[in-house]
Amino acid sequence: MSRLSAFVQRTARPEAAGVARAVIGVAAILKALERAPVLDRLADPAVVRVPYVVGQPSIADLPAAVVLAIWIGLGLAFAAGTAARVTGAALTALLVTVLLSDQQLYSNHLYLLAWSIGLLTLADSGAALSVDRLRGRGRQRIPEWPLWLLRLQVSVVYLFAGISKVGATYLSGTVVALSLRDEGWLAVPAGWRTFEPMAIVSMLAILAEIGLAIGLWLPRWRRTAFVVGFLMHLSIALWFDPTVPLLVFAVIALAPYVLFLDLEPRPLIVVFDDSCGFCTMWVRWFRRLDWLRFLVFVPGSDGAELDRLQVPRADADRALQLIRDGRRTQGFDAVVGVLEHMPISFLWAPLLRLWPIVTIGRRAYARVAARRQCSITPGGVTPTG
Amino acid sequence: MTPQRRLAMGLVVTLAAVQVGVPLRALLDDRPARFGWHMYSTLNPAPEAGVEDESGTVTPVDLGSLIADPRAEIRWSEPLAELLCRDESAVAIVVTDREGTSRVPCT
Repeated sequence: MSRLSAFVQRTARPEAAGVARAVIGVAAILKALERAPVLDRLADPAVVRVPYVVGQPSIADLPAAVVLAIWIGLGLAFAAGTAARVTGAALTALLVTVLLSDQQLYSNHLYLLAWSIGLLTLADSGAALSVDRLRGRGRQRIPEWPLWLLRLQVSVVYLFAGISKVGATYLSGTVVALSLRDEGWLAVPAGWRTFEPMAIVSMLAILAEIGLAIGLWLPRWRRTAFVVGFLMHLSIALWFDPTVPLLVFAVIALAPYVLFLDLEPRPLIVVFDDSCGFCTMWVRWFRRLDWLRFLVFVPGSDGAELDRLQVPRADADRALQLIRDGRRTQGFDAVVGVLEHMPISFLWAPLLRLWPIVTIGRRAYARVAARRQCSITPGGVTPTG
Repeated sequence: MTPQRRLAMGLVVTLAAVQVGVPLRALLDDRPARFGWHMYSTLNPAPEAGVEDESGTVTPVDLGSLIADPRAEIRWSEPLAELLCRDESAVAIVVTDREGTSRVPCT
């Protein structure tokens, strides 16, 4: 009991929740557009209604255009973080109403979306990266327990999606074979849809889903889980039908991944050559994209800080330096380290550590670093490169 | 302990129980089950229906214009019978969904 009491008192920085909120808000808009035909058709008296309880009211009794306009409007407001608590609560209520109005309106994607919006609303995710924040209604700390529940939700989805596939039908490869795209340049030839390859893909899918459910929680496996989740959702959307709903689902499922990045970030110190226009341009972009506030920038001309960090000036002049937990990386590896902590790149950046990408990247970095143009710094030292 | 903290504790326990308990329970149902996260877990053939007349002839019905979303977890026989039995020549409706093929007499 006391542990639970302590748990609900824990707080987190709001930036990751703000990123998740913005992406989930956009996903809500996309989902509205994707579900529009179903809502529209249900309004047709010739179309069968399948209520959960006989005589229950249905949102399909309202004009579909009105429902969609409210849905999209709330999605926009939630994404922007405008009165995020109110719009989030209203959007959650609307989605739950849609889900429960008719059995034909149920969708796992919509159900997950409702969970995500509801929990991000409870977390007060409008506290950062939002219009609310610009209006002075931001907060430095938000409750962590709704974010923990959202992370749990992501794991639950993968775990049960994986477990439910364990059975002869799925493992035979038939489900995958019949779900693959038949037309277009990504169509899989019928000759490839034989037992062996399809059974292997099916087995890998189960392993990936169950692995994600666990791996996202383990710091050692988290980066791998990000890449696996990203590639899995991308592959499903590209090779399965129907593409658009699966792309929207990918956005809904991947948005909360940002919450698995360290919620209490230890600073990543970026030492850069401030005498070099090329380097400062990169650092400017890093600053703009550092939405989670992970990065602390130290110019190479700051001798005292370099001494404190034990970074030789020659190293700082030669390549970007990244220091975390006392460990220093440089050059291409430092750039990858930065990318792994940015919301726009953390899902795929670990791929840059794989051979041959890392080898090519290091060579390219060294070549660019050698050719860059630098000026004389205020400290009076001219970098050699 | 403040009422706010007590509410938060209640919410954490309740929501986590729903998040885990509902799909756990759904594992006992046929797949796919609603709220069970059974995406692509099995084959989902689209429902089919036909109208049986007095001679016993079953005429297939194009459900494309009668269904908003042919979801696999729905038991289609009752709602489709209610709709298709409005046809005065219908004696019964024959529906094939994941439950198998069933014949629902029009009363």
